[in-house]
Amino acid sequence: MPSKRKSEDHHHEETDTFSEMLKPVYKGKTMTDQINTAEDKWNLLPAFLKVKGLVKQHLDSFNYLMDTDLRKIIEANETILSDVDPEFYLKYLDIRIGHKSTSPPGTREVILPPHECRLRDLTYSAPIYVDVEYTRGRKIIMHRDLEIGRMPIMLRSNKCVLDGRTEEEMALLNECPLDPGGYFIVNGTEKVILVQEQLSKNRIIVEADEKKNIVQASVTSSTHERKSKTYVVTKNDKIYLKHNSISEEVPIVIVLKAAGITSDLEIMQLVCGDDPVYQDLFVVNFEEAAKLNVYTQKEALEYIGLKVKTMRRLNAPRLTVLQEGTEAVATTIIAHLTVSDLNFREKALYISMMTRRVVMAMHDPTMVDDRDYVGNKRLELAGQLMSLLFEDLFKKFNSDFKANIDKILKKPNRASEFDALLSINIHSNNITMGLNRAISTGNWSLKRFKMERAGVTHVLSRLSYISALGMMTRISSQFEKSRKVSGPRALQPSQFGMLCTADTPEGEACGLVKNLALMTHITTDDEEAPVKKLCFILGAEDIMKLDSSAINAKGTFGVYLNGTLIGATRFPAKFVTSFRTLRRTGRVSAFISIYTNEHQFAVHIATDGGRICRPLIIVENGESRVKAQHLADLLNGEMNFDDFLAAGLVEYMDVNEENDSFIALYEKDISSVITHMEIEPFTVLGAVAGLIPYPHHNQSPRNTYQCAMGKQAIGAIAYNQFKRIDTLLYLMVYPQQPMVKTKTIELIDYDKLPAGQNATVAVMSYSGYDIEDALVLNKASLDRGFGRCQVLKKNTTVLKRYPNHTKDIVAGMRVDENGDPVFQHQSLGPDGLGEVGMRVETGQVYVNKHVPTNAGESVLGQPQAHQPIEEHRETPVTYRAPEPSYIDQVMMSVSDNDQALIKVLLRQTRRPELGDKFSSRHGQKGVCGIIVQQEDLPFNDDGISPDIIMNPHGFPSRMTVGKMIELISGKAGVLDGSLQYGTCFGGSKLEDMSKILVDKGFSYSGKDMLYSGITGECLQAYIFFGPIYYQKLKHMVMDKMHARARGPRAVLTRQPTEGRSRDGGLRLGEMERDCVIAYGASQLLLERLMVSSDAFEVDVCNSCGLMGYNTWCTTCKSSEHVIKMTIPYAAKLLFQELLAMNIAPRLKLGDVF
Amino acid sequence: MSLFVPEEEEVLEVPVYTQTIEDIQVAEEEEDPVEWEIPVAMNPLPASGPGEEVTFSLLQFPGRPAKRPYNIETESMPLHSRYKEASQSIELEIPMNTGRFYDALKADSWNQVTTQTLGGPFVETDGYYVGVLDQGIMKLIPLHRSAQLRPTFTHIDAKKDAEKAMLKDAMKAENPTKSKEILVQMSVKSASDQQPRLGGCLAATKKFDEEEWEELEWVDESLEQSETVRRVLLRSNDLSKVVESKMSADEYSAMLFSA
Repeated sequence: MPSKRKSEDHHHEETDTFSEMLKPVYKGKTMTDQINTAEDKWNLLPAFLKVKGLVKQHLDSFNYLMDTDLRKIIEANETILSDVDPEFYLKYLDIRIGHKSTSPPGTREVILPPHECRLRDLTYSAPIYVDVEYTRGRKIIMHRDLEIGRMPIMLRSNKCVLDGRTEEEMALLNECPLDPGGYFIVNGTEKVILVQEQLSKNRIIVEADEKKNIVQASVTSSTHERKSKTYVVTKNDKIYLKHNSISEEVPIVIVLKAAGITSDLEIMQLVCGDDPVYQDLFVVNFEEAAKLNVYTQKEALEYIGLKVKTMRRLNAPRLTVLQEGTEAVATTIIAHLTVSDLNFREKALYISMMTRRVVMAMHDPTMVDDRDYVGNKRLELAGQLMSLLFEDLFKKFNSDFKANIDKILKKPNRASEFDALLSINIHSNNITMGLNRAISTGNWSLKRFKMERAGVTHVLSRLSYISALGMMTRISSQFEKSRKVSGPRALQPSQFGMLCTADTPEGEACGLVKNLALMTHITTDDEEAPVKKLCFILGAEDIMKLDSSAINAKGTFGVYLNGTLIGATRFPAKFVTSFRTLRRTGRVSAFISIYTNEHQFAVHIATDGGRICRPLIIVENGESRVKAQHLADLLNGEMNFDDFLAAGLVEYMDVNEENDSFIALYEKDISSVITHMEIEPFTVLGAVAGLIPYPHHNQSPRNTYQCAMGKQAIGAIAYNQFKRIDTLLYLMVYPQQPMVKTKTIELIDYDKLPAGQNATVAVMSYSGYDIEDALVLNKASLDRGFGRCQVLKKNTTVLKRYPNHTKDIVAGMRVDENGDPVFQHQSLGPDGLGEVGMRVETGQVYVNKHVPTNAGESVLGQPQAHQPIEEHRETPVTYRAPEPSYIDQVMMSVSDNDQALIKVLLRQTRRPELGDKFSSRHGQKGVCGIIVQQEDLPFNDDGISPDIIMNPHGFPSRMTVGKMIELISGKAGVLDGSLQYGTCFGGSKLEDMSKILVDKGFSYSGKDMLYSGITGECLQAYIFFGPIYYQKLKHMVMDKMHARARGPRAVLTRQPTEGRSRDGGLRLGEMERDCVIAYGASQLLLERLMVSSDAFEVDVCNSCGLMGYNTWCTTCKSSEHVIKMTIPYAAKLLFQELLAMNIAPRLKLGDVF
Repeated sequence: MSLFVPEEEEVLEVPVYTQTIEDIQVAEEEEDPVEWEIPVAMNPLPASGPGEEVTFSLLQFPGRPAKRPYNIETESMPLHSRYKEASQSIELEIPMNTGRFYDALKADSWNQVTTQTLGGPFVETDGYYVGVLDQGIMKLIPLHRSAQLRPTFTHIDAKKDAEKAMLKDAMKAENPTKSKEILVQMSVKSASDQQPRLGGCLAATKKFDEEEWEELEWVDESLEQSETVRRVLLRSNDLSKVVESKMSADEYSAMLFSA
């Protein structure tokens, strides 16, 4: 197949799902139709998704890691030197994933296809090759393609075998072409690294606590080596610098003096400029320094040096106080700006800018930053997290290697010439195992940051296609869920278009877990150096040459690159415009953002990764740059989205830059001040919320509820769903695409993998079994397959091998006297495995496994010849469930450690029953309350009876008008033979729909005249009647139904077990107990809490009060006062536990009557 | 009231960012016509000798108004100028006006200070030139490095160090017999546990401290010598040195954003 594979061509036209939308005739529109820029600009969206895909943020970040970041890590940890032999060195030259140096870049080594890894519980990974150069004796040796481990590969990344495959090729690999990728397969499970939201690093955040009268500016510095936080805080109106490794707060003037700004005048210029208000606020700080007798740089450094908490590493030289101070200022404080020479200016300016921001906020409390503002957030993606992990493991690998060679080199006279590579391979498993373990457990432990983070990865939810997709766009926040602040949970105005406004869970994670909107892009790191150079060329003056008084002069704007002041300009507008022009012409990376902050008199340029941005159409002189011709070119395939970007028609805007522009929603809103225009307003919603028809007509929480429920809907999962063997898989038998679609549904291919069916709904009351949102279902519809689903459960068996060379086996079936298999073995084949298609009932065996009886015995000490005959004991895998299943698939394979792996997939087909849960797409869920014969249901003039009857009380309080419009549009679509749209902020117009209804002889309102199925009389009212898309949710009665009379008990307490899975009892809890007490039913209480639970007869000695046994008190050595009584076993247990703690609970018994 | 007296040249009426998008467009198209084209000549520095290159450095004095340079005229020509080649640092000693605002008492405590020491490290510069419009030609001389010189207050540090030393001596003098018996343990330092070297800034500081100052001769701008140098710098008048762009605007903009 590799021969068939195409090269790095992203424009596969033939089968690409998006290209269909770009074909000459699509959805009834041809190329000759007039192009309306206002309507047709939405075509940019499929074009965008065609280039970027739905999970591009994950793929982009992983590709960046593979192509750029790994190389940077190698460069940062380039050489390994020996402490013993100064001559020795080893140097990493290059790193490649998945291909050797001999093959041209871009080719991929053939690795195991992902689906095979899923089935065989393997890890989908590719080898990591490095090129090294090292010394052997006097020679310098170059070694290429040294494998140092294996890297788990993200599916659909550019290192994945699926990259650039056509649909046919994907089918051959048993892969679903609609599967978005973006996850890893580790030990057979699909793992997603969720996007993590963080406060941006290396940026100043100013906050104020007005009650405590505190203003603080903080910056989290993050470099490859360390992470630390520096604060500039006010205390009694004086300003101090605070840092974890400095034991107490240092007056800010001392810090600035230590950073080389020796004159008070210059400090004043840098912090206050020539604003007398700021000067008055700040001047007190000079006194602070003078009181402490600190005037010179040396004095200041020594002052700080005394306060530094010294943490000496092993072997590190002892430093003088002055050196400690220098080290603290140069590297510890604001660690991301490390001073490596004598020039402290950059750092001094950074600290003074922090101070300036504090002074500004002291004067004007509105000058604080908002932590929750999306522009102050960065998203950490799979690539960044993997890079942190890899660097940690790589450093460990190198230090292990160094320790190893030192050990060997220390030996005074070695026999042979030392070859370092011989010892590098010994521990080559570390990287592989470390990466695998972190991804499969989700525990990210980074030694160098002393960081432990749990729950980074999650198992990809394959409940439905939407749930998998929803997981890929999910963002989890670092905030504690328990904290009682509303700010981080609230909807932020700045998240418009970036994060979905509807999709968030209810309950404790509400607002903390978010989802990406449809058109968001998350940036990866860009190089700083060329941008810096460009700034100077564009007229920014270098801070190294700039006079301190000029920096804060009126009309001068500081130029900040990733939060660090690099220069200043007097003409910010011109500077920003020319920078943007260069970006729009493609000279500067499209993802670098630039904006002016007029409050801070600053121009901020950001090149860092993790910023959220989205494309917008550029508007100039009150005119959209995208013209009809461009859209025509797009439709006939002459232009793609990247061409639009390169031509300067659209550009990416991050949240900060968005704040610096005027964005029109529609073409009609454009005026001369407008700078940008939305591509499509419905992209404010994400993929999951995009399924809702007419969401703009619904009450907002209903949309949020639907987002949660859409992920629980049973439907088609992927094209390869029948080839998958998952722990638990729900499939709908006859899924349908919705009658009322949205643009998003088409874009994310929900119409190809739907989860639901179009049900004919009558909104009326029927039978009284429809209270509390219960639904009435039509029995004939269920017979026809409505709501029918399949449940597939996996069962894994491993045939183990034991150290004494015995192993588990699978044996054939046992037969009765007639030669027929016994009941238990009826579904087995001659090989001892269940046969595909056989029915298994409870108690029947589907893997007839036997384990050796002597597995524990050691083989050692026995004569070689004397091999014991293997004897086996039956340990069959038995099916236990109330309902029978059918064997769907049986798979046998060999896992990593050479043990046979048997997976049996069991299938149940379920039709809806009372209590099964259904929901429409408007957050309106209900359970089936009654199933009615079709004859008894109402019918209309055409004889149509509903599939579902929904009680009208569901509408007034929920205000889901969208559902009503969906019904009307759906009905119009049915009558018209068309599919209608319910796209957010658009879609088919109600007026048009009503017109279709009227034309077809129906009421414009969607109401029909129905006849009672029971009496045949015409119903008193017109009934709202038509199709609504209904989803069957995974909560089914069969999985929950549970009752028990007598059953298993827990060993320790002898009380009934808990939970359905353990056939547990139903608990009479403390609140129920309170009721019984209040009622005074003491005997009932006794029966419930003791007799039916853990009654136990004890022998109590009435003289000592302790418990004995067999009418004998062991304490008194007599049976004289021993009395039998019944107490709960738990009470007896408590007494004994107390005794064990040297506390003697003594029972004093008295007569009741 | 401003604390700092703005310098005359710097009083430029720069409006605080009030430009709108329209303004920019107007400015780009109408208000910025080409009025005068000036040929540019690159004047590299003449070599002082074979194989040697002259470095052209800019000294900046933040905290000193540009109107009052350190020269003979203001009676503040540096007395000494010192230079550390390896550390790329410079230090100037400026005479103080002992006639005005001079506290003789304070000076006594600082060992009769009559000079002020300014110092600072050099920073490489790229893309900065000294330009002279001479006979209709803009002559550009590339600037190699610049340094911002700030007061180092060495006299305060010197005094403190002296006090500390005195204190130490006094302590020693007080309890002279308190020399402890020290058990001398001989240990052979093996080659393996080499001391890790100081890194980054500390290494630079150490290098700076260990390096000796090298005295440089200061020539005042008013002297004949300076005039000669100035003349040498601007010597060429031939139009052959006039630079002409071989790049198109497109090529230039492509070059802007690259390594």
